Amino acid sequence: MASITSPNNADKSEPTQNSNGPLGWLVRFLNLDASTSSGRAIGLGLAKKDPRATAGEDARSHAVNRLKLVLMHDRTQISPDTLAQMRDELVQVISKYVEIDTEALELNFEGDSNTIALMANIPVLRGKNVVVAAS
Amino acid sequence: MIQTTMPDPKPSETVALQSTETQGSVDAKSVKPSVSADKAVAKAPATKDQPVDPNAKTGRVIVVTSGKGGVGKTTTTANIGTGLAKLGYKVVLVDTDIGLRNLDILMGLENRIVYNIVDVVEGRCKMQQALVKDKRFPNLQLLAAAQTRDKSAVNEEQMRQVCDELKAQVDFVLLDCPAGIEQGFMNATSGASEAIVVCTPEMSAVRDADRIIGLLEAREEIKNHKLILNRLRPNLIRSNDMMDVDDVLDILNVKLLGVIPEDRDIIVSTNRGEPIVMVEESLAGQAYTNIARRVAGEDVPLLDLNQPLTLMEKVKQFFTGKRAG
Repeated sequence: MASITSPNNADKSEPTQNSNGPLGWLVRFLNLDASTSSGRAIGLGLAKKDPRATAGEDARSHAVNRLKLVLMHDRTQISPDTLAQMRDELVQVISKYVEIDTEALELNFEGDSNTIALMANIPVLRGKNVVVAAS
Repeated sequence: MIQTTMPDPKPSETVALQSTETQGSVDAKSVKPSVSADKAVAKAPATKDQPVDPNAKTGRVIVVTSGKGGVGKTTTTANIGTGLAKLGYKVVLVDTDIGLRNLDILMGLENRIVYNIVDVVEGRCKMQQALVKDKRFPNLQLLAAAQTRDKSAVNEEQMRQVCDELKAQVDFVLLDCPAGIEQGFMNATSGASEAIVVCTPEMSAVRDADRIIGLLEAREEIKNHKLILNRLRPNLIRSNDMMDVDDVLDILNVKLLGVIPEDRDIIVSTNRGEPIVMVEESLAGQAYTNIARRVAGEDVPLLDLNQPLTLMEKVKQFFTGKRAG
């Protein structure tokens, strides 16, 4: 962004798609060009942006989403490790009766602050012919 | 701000003292005038016998807690207490953070502490000797924590006794709880029947608040708990960089008692030993006054924290074309 004094220099040094026009130096000076404002705020810092922020993923929703997950583990006192173990054991039990896609199996906590549900999504490939032992 | 302030020299000419039912929730509308005169009747020189006071009160005991340290428990205690005293209620603030006492500093009373809560519990002095009267508000008193002892110096039963003795004399007993979930927290909450949870819109504070709320719900004595969201920064919320009030309420599933904006005046007033509610033009001061009125049972709408945009924000908005949410 050292292009304030000489627009020609700027055009040569950093030819970007949107800021090539005659006013390109101004665009970049004001840091309005999306293609150059990805990182630090330079110039006047008008378009200062968190480099990690993508659409809909601002710091606020990051915090909310992470917190919800953490609190579900806190409240249920089930660690990610335990959850993985549960998943494995579930696979074993269900596999006795049906063939399932163990790769695509999902097991997660879901819910709002009132209720927590353990949601399992278990894709079934095909059934097994299992003779249930009569007691 | 519409506010009945009580002139220091003649408290009797203004608002009549009011007392509320112990079992009422924070929202209870049952604010009824009490027969008691507001002068220092109950504070007659301590006699050997327990004074049989016909005007004995049944004050509400409220613990201010948070889990995480540094979110503003002590500031909140000092300000709600002072706010209630300004409204004409009789208030005792109790610092239960034994070993790390700070409430006296925030109240500007640090030079007047002679006895503390441990002295009372261990019988070295009468309760009346340990209560420090705030000269600015004749109906506001402080029971300080001991600085040279630790949390084991007072147990749950002793804390209950202290609270029982105090609530017979005043309208509100506010307990400043230590951070953490250990014995200090258990002691502080044992005497209370209501709780105020202080939290900031930060992940760690919200997580700790969630833990505290879980523990409070497990305590039968605590009839209700409400949240104060402290140190809110409207500018950061506008730019979606900080969690909003609704986000935190949704995550914690708790009722809101009030919202306090981040305010440099709090630092200034703390340094002066004056709770921010005494600075009426400050936003945080108004927010705390509103909270005090809600605690007393009034229905006060939330303060609008959205200050006008700063020049920089306007310029930024103009160039980016984004309207702040």
